[in-house]
Amino acid sequence: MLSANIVLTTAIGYVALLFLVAFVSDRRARGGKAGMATSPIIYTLSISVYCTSWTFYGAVGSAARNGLEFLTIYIGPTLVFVGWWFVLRKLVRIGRVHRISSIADLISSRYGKSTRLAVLVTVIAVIASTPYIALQLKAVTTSFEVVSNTGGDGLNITTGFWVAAGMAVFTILFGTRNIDANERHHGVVAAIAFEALVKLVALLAVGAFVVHGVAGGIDNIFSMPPAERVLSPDVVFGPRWITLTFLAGTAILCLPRQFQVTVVENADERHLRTASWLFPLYLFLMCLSVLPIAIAGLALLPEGSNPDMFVLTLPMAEGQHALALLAFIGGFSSATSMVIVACIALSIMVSNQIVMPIALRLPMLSRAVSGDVKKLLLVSRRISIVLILLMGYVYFVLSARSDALAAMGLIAFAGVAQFLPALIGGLYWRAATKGGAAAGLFAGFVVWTYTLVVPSFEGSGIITHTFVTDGPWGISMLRPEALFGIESTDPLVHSVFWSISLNLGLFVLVSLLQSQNTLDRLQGTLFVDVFRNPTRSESRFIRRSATIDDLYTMAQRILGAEEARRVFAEFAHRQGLADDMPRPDAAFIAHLERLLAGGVGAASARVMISQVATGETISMDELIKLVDETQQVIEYSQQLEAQSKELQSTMVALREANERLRQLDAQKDDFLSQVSHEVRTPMSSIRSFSEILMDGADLDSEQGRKFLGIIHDETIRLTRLLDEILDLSHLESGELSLRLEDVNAADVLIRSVDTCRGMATSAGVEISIGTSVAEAPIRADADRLSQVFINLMSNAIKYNTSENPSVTLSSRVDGGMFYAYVDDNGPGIRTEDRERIFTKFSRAWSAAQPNRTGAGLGLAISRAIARKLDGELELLPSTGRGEGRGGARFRLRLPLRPAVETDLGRDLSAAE
Amino acid sequence: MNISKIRDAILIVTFLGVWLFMPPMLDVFNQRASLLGMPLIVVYVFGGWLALIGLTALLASRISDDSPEPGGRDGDLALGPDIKLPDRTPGG
Repeated sequence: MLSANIVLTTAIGYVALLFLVAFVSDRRARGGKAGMATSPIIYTLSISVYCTSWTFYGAVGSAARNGLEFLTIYIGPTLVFVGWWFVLRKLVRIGRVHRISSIADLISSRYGKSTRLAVLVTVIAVIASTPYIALQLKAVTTSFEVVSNTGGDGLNITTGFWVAAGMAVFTILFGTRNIDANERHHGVVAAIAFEALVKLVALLAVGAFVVHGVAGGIDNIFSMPPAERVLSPDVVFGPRWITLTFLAGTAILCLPRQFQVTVVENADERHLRTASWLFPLYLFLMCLSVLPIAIAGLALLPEGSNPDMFVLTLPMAEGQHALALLAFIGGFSSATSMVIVACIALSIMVSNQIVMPIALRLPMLSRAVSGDVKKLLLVSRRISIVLILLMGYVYFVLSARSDALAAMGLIAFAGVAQFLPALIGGLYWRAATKGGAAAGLFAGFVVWTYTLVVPSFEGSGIITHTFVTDGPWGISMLRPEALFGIESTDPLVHSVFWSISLNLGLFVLVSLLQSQNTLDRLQGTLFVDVFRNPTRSESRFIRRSATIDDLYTMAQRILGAEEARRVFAEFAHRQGLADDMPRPDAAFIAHLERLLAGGVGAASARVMISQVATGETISMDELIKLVDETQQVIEYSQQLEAQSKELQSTMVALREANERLRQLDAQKDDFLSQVSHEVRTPMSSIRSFSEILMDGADLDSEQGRKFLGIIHDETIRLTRLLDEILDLSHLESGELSLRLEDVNAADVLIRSVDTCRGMATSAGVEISIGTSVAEAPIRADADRLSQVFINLMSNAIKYNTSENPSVTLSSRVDGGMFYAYVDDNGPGIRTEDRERIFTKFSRAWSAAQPNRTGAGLGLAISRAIARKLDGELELLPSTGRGEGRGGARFRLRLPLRPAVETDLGRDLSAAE
Repeated sequence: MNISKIRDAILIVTFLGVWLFMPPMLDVFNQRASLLGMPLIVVYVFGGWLALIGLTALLASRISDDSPEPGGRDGDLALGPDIKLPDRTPGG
């Protein structure tokens, strides 16, 4: 059995250890070695201040009474953290950018830095936190009595008093040592993180002991008789489940202490990323032990034992006193961490949102304040801490006989849930107004008080039993737990439903009806678009002036002499001044106001600045421009996207064009080397023969004439080649203009055949005319057209290796087109050469017959002419027609003259 | 995965969580059956919880430190060169 002294000594020793942790890390942080204190792990552990003694003791009690219901309290926050990107990230960003010091500061700052709203939020927060703090006092007192076995009948409220007093001392010592430019408490955060580890280890240890030491395995736990009752499938997951999950998710955002650790104490936005999964994991681990302890407690401990204390009584019943002591310390940890952070958060709110504005407004006090604002803040915070704990203690005394821990906690949750509409609305809805937020908050708060807080005092002497059961003055419509006759089975669901509905409804309605004032609108835009708009441009909107001396005096009072000098010098440097005093322009005043807001809250900072600044105007034009700019930025980025797509397609086109150019360049090189080659052959023969003629005196005249003949032929060939090249280049560049006239293509064809007959006869090739039309009126240059025919025929003659070489010409008119065919029975053209033959210097036949000469430009020229006449010259696919092997079949297609086309068609059909 | 895809994934996981832990789905598993020596509903809730944590951790790890803000990127365009970000902690 543990004596009260041992327990007390352990508790005091533990508190001393906490001091050490807090002190050392505060020291390190001040020395600039934040290191550990700003790691994402510490950040996450400090968030787990969420797990109070409600979790440590109450979860087991809740599980023993209501089964799985306790899980809602942890699933709600899990969901909020899983979706961290959408709400938490924005909250943290806003908190950092606007130097928010508490949730009251956030709401007031969003709604036009309203002092009245700040007061309202603060009052609600303090009142809602009271049952929560009472819960911790009750848990510590009860656990102390249980573990030291000092409990008589009923709770000893004296113990509770000393617990409260001890906590007040600790909180004052650590939470209010100084006023930072931003409300960060490295020492406290470190101590909280340490406590988070202690409570986790303690609860896991008890759980492990119960599962392995007592039951001997996890399946044994679930086969104990109470398991059937605790986890009965008859339990319905209904409105209460949904309400509790919603409340818990809300609480993780709205509880002043959660806001403090998550938003205000956040040192780096990236920490949130780790916390997004690590904090749910912490909650998960905390919950692991709950069910085994609850089931084993119900099975093994005597009937009527307090299930809230199973965590302690179970190890004690098994004679594990060391474990019981560890569990006590764990519970003590969870209670102290909650009370410390909650008191710090609440005291900051009270001092910044209530005391400061009053002090600034009272002229008599205002002068006193000019002495030392810091001192006023510290004193007011210390007093608030004492008062807050005192209120918690009073609530604890009044409700000492009633509720289980969980029920008390839920009252607090429902209270802070009233902040949700104003908070979320302020973050995402630009048009939300100060009036809407105030109306919603106030109505929600009243309904919450009436339906949840009032009934919790039932039987304590303040509220009579009949008030709750019959309603005030016997009006049953106004019964606190059944407003308007809604007989909800669950008072919590009932209260949350009415308060949140009314709150949200009024918030939206009043916001829609009311028009925003300028500052309200400015802050709304800055908050909602926090990821788009830089607050630092706030000075664009608010124009005011002040003397630098006034500003400096004021800054000194709040920031302290040294800090103020540093801030001023830094800004002067940024303005590019050599002096240590900056120009008191709008930008600097805005900067200073934000800095002060970190210490005294946005509303107070604004009041203080406006005491020394004059001529404040908020530029409406600038404000409208800001909204426009946001719109423009969105449009601009869309335009950019479109442009980049366009650029991409242009790039593809350019790449293709480049590729084509490269090919053309290669072709040109090819062409040049071909030309030189072609020119070189006749040139060298001319040269050699003329050399022979020059020194050969002994040549007979016949030989000489022969040589001269060769030279002559070669020069002719050379001239022809050059002519062809010129022709081609003119054709291709489009410089050559054809003499277009009305000609009969059939006539031209016949004339060309006649021209070729001589050549054909000498080559032994027979030229025949197949089916032909007599009339084919086209517009063309007759000479050029004839050149095409002659070229085709001469190729057919020259390269025909057949035994009975023959060339057949035919023509027809079809669909407004004139077609001329040149067939031969030669070797044909290899498939792979079909397109190549139309390029320059490509003699498809020459590979087979190298002795044959010709520049290989004929077909290229012919095709160019055909195209120039809007026609086409093609090599038709080999069809195997004609005798022997297929031979080649060229087709020239030319358009008929439009005017005559129809007449001709009629003539032709008449002829047939 | 780019940042806007991660953002979408986070949204989906959040809704998945709500779907998993709300009545209709819970009632499906609220049966007189056991798995691994534990009641089915207990295995379901704790298992689903752990899965949700795992998914969130996976997504969080995919965000690199220098990921641009989806909104912030736009904001930077709007900023003139004259606007400087003030330090959160003076000098710190």
